[in-house]
Amino acid sequence: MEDIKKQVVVLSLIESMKNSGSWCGETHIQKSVYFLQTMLNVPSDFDFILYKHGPFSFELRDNLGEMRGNLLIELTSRFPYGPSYRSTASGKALIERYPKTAAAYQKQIEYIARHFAGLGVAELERLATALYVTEKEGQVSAEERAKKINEIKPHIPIDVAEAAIQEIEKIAHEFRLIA
Amino acid sequence: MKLYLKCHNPHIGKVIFNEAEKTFGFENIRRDSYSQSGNISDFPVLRNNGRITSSYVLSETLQRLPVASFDYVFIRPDLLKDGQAWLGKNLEHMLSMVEKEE
Repeated sequence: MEDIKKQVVVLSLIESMKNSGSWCGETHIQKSVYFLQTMLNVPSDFDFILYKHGPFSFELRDNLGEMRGNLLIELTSRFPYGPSYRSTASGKALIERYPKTAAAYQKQIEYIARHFAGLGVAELERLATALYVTEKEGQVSAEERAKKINEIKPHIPIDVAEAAIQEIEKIAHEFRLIA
Repeated sequence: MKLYLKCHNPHIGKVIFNEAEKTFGFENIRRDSYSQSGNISDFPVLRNNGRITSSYVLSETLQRLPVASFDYVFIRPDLLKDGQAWLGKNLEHMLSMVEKEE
């Protein structure tokens, strides 16, 4: 996907998350893009690795910095909490100039935004890590995957990891029903 | 001036560079563009009580720091006056040359 179309996808996601009442901090954007790309096949092609709070893309972080530099998005301070992102008038105008890209992934973006808008950082980490392990481990039991999650993230107990795995499978199943 | 240009066309630097190359020849034009990547303001802070906290939680100023970004288009020195005249005459039009989906 061309860089500018990736920016349109990220901008559309930020818009959708704001409309769903989301905090829209960087963690929300990172995990939502990971789900869009990995579970719902949006071809944004960001490279994700397992980092401090689960799957993270430095490439996406750089992209967000570039979009700020180009005045497509801005950070709103919410001190003493972390800042949140929102699109600017220029960002909204860019979405309007790329209607096909925006429309092509609108269903996936709105679905993820609705599901993740109200979640906190800890829950986002659990779900995204569950998806990461599911993608890497392939066809192994939920129990095995939960053990793997606990192995790489010891602060996530096995039973909580299992619940996260069930939740991501439910998310995937529900999307298949409506898509 | 730069903020005004970017508000109207976020990719104005690239547009000016491309149009200048067509007008003056690619061998006479250079571009240097940089946008701060990453998030250097968000880093771990070791506090006196031994806890580690995000810098963002401790400092509102850091949350409000603007991102560093520049975009320079250079022209061969002996063509500078022609380039400035050309830019003055064509800037408004180039601001409207925004990328669109085909």
